[in-house]
Amino acid sequence: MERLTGSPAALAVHRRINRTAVPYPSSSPVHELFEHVVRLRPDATAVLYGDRRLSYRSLNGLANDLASDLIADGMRPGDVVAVVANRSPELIAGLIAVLKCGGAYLPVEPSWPDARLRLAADQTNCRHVLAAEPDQVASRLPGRRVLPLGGTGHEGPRPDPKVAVGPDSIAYLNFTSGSTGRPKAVMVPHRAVVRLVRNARYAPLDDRAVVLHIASIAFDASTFEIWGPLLNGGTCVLYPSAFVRTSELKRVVTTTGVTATFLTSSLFNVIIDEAPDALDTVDTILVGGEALSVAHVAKALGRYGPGHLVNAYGPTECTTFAAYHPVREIMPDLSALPIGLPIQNTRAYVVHDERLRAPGQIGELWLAGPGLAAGYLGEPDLTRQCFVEREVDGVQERLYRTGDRSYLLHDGTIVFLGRSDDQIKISGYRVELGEISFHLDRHPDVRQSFVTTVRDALGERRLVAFVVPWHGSCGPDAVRTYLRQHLPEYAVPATIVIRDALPLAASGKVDRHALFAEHTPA
Amino acid sequence: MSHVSRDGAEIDAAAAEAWLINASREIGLSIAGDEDFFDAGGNSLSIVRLIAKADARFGGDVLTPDEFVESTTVREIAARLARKLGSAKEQAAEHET
Repeated sequence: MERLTGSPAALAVHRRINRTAVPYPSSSPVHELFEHVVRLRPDATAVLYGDRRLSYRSLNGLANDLASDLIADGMRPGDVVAVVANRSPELIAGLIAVLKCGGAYLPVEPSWPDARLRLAADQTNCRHVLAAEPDQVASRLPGRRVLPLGGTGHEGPRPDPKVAVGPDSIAYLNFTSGSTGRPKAVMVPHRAVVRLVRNARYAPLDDRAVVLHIASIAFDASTFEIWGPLLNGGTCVLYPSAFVRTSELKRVVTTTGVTATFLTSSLFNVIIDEAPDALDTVDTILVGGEALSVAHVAKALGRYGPGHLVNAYGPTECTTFAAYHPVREIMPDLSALPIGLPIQNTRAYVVHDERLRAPGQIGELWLAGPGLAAGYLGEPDLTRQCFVEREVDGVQERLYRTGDRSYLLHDGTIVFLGRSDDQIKISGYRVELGEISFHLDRHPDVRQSFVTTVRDALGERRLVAFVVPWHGSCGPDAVRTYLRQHLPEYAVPATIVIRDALPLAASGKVDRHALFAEHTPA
Repeated sequence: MSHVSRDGAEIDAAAAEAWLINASREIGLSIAGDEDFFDAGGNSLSIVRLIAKADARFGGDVLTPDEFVESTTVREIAARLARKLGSAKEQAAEHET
């Protein structure tokens, strides 16, 4: 096996930051840990949703009903089950039910365009679907067995189904943007989820934890938001509306006593600017998804005090969080906020040219440990390319190459610099510019296209597409409508500019500066 | 039709539009009354910001995401805002009598 070596200084710093092993129930699947809490604390509050309160017992009852519906309908262990619904207690019960049956859930937002929904179902070979609105979803997904999340009505409580599920079984699939136009389905095993939420060092997660579930169910922050409380006997508070209002956020946070929440940096910036009081009572505010704005973090630090704000970093392939940095001060000589140290049971390496980098040297961040995904479903080549095996410091490691450029400070704190490819983040979502170009170039009226990003007046990144059509009748609205049929809303460029040609730089690449000299985006 | 806002100032459709244009400018969106909110660069995060500003200025729940979904131009959004301010005020008046 190939070895990752390095200078004594490089080896020493990596050794120091990677002493992260803490005990966790590594052989128990997610739903068994949940069922353990059900037996221990049946009347404790599992889920709060508006006026509704569900105890662990009643949530487990809903999940067992749905599990028996799925089994009666022919679902088998190893099957992928799409769950199509907005936030609700039934959705959470649906996820638990799929796991109880030995299946992997595929969380889908009802707002996905039809083409993406069908592609996701085809790609994952999913036969069963749990849906809040089964009739509507059945018409969008012909040929699939669509069961209602509300259940089919059972008499009396059902026992926990006894399906043998191992810790390496896939618990869920999450789609991330793929540069070839085909989204990649990341396969996350049970053990990776358990590793994320048990004995956590980035936030206190125990039976007093009250965690807000505000992210999209299709975004892997929801893994933390749901299983963080539910595998520790705490309470998961479902944000009650589809759309976030700062006044409602404040009301929900204070009335339910939220102790921990994860926010994408874009939403965090909005709250800090417009209504910072909404988070005054929250003990741990995790922020991530994309690079943090130092100005907003400084303002938040002043308001909430040191230790409450945590920069959380992690790709879907390492199950939600891989590194964390509790913000205690703003280091004046750093332009970016560090992403900190690896979380529990997670290891991080800065690698360049098959060598570990010493502090100060830039390399690619590689991650290891039980949080790693099993790979990309149906993409063995891509999986082999991104998940590699190396001997590191005498130990055999399976590693995920993040594509994130980074370096270590002298104490081992990781600093994130940017991407080594075309992947960008829009409102916390991963977007491959290549995926957008792929769909643009398939439009019959598009001759040539170029997709890039700009920062708007508030410093938020926005997508801009420049399109050269075959003929003059092709307008931005038609292009936008076409993209909306294939891409999630966040990946549809806010600005689409129709042009006669794309200026080229001497390198032969599209000249970004010349484009923006002629066009100043709003 | 004119209404009174939280601080006692008259708010009619034109004043609501002026407020909305100014609030949009504060969040970096330069936008005219007859312009489409999304074409001018508005997105879901700008809506979160504008609603927070409306809550602070007029009190809760007069500006909601529905206004942005169901209306297209800034003028239409402002007209709906002014209407809602009006009915909120009438309800308050009924409550007092």
